[in-house]
Amino acid sequence: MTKLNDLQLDVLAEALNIGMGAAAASLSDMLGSSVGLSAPRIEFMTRGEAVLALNRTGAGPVCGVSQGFEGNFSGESMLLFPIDKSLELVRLLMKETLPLEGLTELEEEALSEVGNIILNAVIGSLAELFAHDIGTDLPSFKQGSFEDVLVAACDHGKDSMVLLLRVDFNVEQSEIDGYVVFVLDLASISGLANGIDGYMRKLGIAEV
Amino acid sequence: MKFVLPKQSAFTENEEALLTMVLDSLVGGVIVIDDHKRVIIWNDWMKMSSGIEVTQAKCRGLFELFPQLAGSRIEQSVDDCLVRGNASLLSHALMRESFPLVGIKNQEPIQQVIYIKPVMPTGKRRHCIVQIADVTAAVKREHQLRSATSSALSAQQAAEELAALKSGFISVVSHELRTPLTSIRGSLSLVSNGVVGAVPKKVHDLLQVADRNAGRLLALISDILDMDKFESGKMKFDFQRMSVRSLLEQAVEGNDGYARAHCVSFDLFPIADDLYVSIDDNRMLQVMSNLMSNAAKYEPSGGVVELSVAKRGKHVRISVVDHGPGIPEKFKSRMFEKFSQADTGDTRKLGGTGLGLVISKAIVESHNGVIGFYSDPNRRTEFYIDLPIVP
Repeated sequence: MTKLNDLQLDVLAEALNIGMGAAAASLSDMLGSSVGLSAPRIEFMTRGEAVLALNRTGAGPVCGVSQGFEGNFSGESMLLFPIDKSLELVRLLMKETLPLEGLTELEEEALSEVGNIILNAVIGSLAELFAHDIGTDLPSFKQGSFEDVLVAACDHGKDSMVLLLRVDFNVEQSEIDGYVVFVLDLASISGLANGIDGYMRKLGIAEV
Repeated sequence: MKFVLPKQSAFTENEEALLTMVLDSLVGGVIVIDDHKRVIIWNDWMKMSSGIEVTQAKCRGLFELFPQLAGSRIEQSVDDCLVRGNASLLSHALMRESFPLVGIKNQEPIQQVIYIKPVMPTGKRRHCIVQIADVTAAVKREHQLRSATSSALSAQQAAEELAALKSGFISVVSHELRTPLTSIRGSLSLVSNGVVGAVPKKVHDLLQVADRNAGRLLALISDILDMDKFESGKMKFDFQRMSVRSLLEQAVEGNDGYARAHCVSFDLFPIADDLYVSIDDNRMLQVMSNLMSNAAKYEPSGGVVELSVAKRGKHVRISVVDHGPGIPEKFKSRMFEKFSQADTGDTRKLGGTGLGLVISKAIVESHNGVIGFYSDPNRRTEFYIDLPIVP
């Protein structure tokens, strides 16, 4: 299996948004201010198609957080932002008003923590709904073009597929767009599909 | 440190001792807890930073040792690690609660980054490794960087305010000076020309001196205002296509009287009809006037100032040549600096504000052009401007 059908994608989008909600609640609690998170669109594509789609956004160089996950399905998860947006997000979260030219070491760490919270919540939500056992690695900070970042994450084989989500952050009345990316190999896509099907059966939703 | 391993350890005694040594040599805290959050490993760094001996720590619940962290994000992350196998990073910047640890050397509270990772020992339930890094030095460095940036921004803001104040002051003072000076020159001219009655020659000569100096003051004010416009970025240009020939003919016409007053003349060499430049004609005539009046001032009496044009690739070079004393070698590098003149005595005698060449350079460069000179004292001094040719 190399692709998910529309119904599976819908169920997956729902599961991911439950995770986003959990992540937003954690961030809001942690930061003491309201954080909104939603992933209105989800797409499944090859790595090349993902690079093209992301380049079309005109976002330029990006930075963000990457962390591996392993279990019934395995791969690499990433939270990416255009560099200027990442600066804005971190400073909003840190309530830092003095702008420096780039992200400092401590700001990179703070962005890594935010990415870690979101990716853990999303993966945790998939694991819970699809009754999977999936653990995550520590996050690492990434910077470069979409292609650099995606190629670096594709040690999982040439046949890797990409699950791409556009994420809308809402922090302190500012809206910041980012991307959550999952890179999965073919075996993991099957594992994910099986998990979704099992969940649908549990809910009594007919498979297409 | 006493290293407590689960039963049926896969390690030999030697390996266990080696592992203990490795963990004790690490610069940073390492705690390993089991699925009941009880401490299994507590390295030397933890002992020294917390003041809790390994014997006190082992087999105790981590959050019994640090009850103030119960329910904190650290405990939530440990739970997430033990239950779901998720790793967490707790950054210094977003950390609300941290371990009550002090620096080994100075006993001062330390700033921390905490890494929480799952580990699955063979035949056991999931355990959790808590690693603590001391980032106090990095936090201090970043704090200093922010302070320095803040100071630099304040200084820049103060400098900008001062520059704006200076610019406003120059503008007001210059306008306030120009109006009465214009009136003084008008009155001097009327008196000098006998409009209000005959003037004795001696008085007439003195009036001429007064008029010349009032004229110099007006020129200086005008140059100061121009400089201020350049420096504040307020100088506006109205670029139009114009033939080089027309530009130079107008320049000669406009400066002819000045040349005659200095008993010299201009010789305009033949110019091709098809050379065009994109210029603000008023500003470029100001540059020409500056170069031509300088040349006329220094050209020996009865001499000829030469004006010529040459095509040089995509540019046209306009040259103004005099045969005066020229520019001393040691002064050449300062020709385009404010209030720089080769010989102050001469300047006073011959007039000039000391800003003309600075303004000319700014105008030419605003036209994507270049201004320069060659000087062979007492033989030939050439000032030139190169401007891009347009179709």
